[in-house]
Amino acid sequence: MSLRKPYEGVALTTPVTVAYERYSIRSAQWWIGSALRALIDASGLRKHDIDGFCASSFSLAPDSAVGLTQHFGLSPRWLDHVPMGGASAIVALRRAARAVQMGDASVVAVVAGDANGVTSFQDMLPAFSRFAQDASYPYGAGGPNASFALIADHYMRTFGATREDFGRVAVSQRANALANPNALMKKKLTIEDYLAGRFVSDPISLFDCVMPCAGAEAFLVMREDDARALKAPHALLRATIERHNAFPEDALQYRVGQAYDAAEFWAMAGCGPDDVDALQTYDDYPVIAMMQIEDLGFCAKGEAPAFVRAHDFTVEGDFPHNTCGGQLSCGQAGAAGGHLGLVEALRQATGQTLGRRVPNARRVIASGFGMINYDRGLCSGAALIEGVET
Amino acid sequence: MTEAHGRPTKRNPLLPLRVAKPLPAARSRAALGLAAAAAEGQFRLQVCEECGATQYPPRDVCGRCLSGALKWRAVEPKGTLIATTTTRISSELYFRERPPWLTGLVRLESGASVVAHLHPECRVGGPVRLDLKLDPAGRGAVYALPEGSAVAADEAAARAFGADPRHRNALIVDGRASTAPALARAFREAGAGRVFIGLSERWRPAPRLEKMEGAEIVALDVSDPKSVEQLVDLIGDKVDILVNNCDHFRSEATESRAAFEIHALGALRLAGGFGPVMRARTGEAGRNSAAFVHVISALALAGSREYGAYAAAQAALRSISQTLRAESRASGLRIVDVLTGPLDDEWRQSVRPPKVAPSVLANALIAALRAGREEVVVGDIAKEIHAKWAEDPGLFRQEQP
Repeated sequence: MSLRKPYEGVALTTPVTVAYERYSIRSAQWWIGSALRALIDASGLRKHDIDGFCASSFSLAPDSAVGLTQHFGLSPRWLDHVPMGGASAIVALRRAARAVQMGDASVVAVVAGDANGVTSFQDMLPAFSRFAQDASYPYGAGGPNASFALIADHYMRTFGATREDFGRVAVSQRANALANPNALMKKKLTIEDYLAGRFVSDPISLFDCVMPCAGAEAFLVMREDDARALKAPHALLRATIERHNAFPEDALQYRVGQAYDAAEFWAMAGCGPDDVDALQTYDDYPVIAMMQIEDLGFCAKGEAPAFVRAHDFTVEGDFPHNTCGGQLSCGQAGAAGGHLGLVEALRQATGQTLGRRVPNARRVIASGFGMINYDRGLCSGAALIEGVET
Repeated sequence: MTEAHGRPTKRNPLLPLRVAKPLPAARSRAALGLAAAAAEGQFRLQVCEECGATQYPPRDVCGRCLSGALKWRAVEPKGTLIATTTTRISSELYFRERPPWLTGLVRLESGASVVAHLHPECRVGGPVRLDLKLDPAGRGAVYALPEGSAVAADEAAARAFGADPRHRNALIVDGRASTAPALARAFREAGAGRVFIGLSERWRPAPRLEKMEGAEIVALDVSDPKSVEQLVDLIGDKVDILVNNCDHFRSEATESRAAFEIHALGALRLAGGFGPVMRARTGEAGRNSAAFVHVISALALAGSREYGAYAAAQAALRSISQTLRAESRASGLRIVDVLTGPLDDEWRQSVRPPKVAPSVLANALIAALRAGREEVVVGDIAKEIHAKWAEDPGLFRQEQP
């Protein structure tokens, strides 16, 4: 069994979202700084109480987290920068958890934010990574849509998934999003609307894609005792894993890194999939959300198509999934897209939702996935958190 | 996409020129090895010298054993097509002008997964053959074709990646060279549009021209700057493929200046005159400019005791071609070096065989244009010189007589 030390005594508090904008003239520094301000306002802490800081962003250049400390007037004794896209939040949480457990920091602000000007997204694509620059982007310049189209095409052929299956994921998330004032998508989406969406990179169509936007997400990590003393609604970290470049031998990605460590994850959690009240997956595309459902063990490999047909994924349904609407309906605020699910998990587990809450939700999983370096997403991770009555 | 490429319609002169949309050209240094192989018409990938693993995308250390000893080796260009996509919305203007764009993921027999441009007849689950092409940015690009079936070479993406002479106009610079009739014939047989033949000192008899039916004779003397300028004014915007086949093969010391005047300065005048017009026309709808070809003696690499000035002028020509390639990369205009052994003609009576028949050179040139190559080596002498030079330039220098 694993030699990993338990993650006990680690609390997450203070979910923060800085309202998303489709296009913004504000910089990443502005978005991250605004999130930090909101953390301070909401928690009642003073700025110098925050002695640990972790930033994630695609648009900070030439800054890293270091430059932000001077920009924001922070003097942390623990500093991290996690550039892992959709897995950033989980990875940041895991590192912050160890820091507060070991006493390297008392309060860690985990923040992700990104700017989005009118051309930001297309400016980023050609040099997203070295392998993408050398071996995927020049092939039609479809960006992540084309890369995930290959993965979706393969998944459909291998496991018999249909566009309707992907559509069910997108449609239920839109229903969840309509109650969330921060979601950029405000219109109801039907399965007919989904199927009528034009193809972007076959089989990926319009409503499979997230809308890039500007925004920020943040939360605090501290010891359980400190969260209690602060009288902050909080959730405890019960289980967490991460894995990178999990299955390099696979010709094409049909499973994600969660499959590598799921057994240990559930052993750590001391419970099973049936004990979870809500699941937040990284939903850059519905096919990736479905892989996480399989590989975390909610159903067997290849059975997510049947699973989405058999379950209701809305907040009121029997399998509440991406309860704030996910990135598909809220928008993808760059690296903050990776934090959206974990912040929503914290909101659900502590009763601080922007939209509807799953009744009595306590145990919530956030799952991360990110960085399509060439032909597949390399980073993955998951965390199960449990809300505590205060 | 597969239908035969028809004769392009005439451009409406009242409409603005359609400018070339560049493809992204930034690559890691390792990935430039793909372009180096594509330029020579080879399929090569990095193979680890220590553990034998085939690498893709190109790396700096082996993805299996971390050895830094990665060598570009010929790899079996075969694999299985695993997935496809048709990209309809692209963030690059080049592809937005040409939707939809087919790509796929190919699993090589040697184990690597390769994203490739796709011929539309490729089927998922089926075997494919991979080809390395220079894309319009001059970078190496993998192109997948259905294995075992003859597919239309005229397919749009393939044409975009090559410089097929079909329906394109050609200028053959030196009508007095022994290669001129064979080149004129080869272009005509390849379906070229208009074929222009340059002729210096038009008052002199030109018996070779009698063999060139259908070609249009134009006044051109590359040793005269005015003559080049005048021809650019006259037909500059009609030349899609330029072949600099100038030939002044002499051993006398008194001919040294002429060798440089024709081969080196002449090439600079052609590049300076025709280059900008051709670079501006690579994006034209229908008939667009495609290639600038230099016929270069392999003596450019080897030097020569008997023909020292000629060999030096050829080396200068090779260098000029390389500079023109760098200048033209962003435009997509392909610069092609045809490295040749001694031609079988009256100027080389005293040169020992094997020699290169002009028709062999012409056919190799046409094939290189179709395949989109940047370099082709013609004749056994040139192949031997090139192979020795490529393997070890230092050793090659020592073994020159």
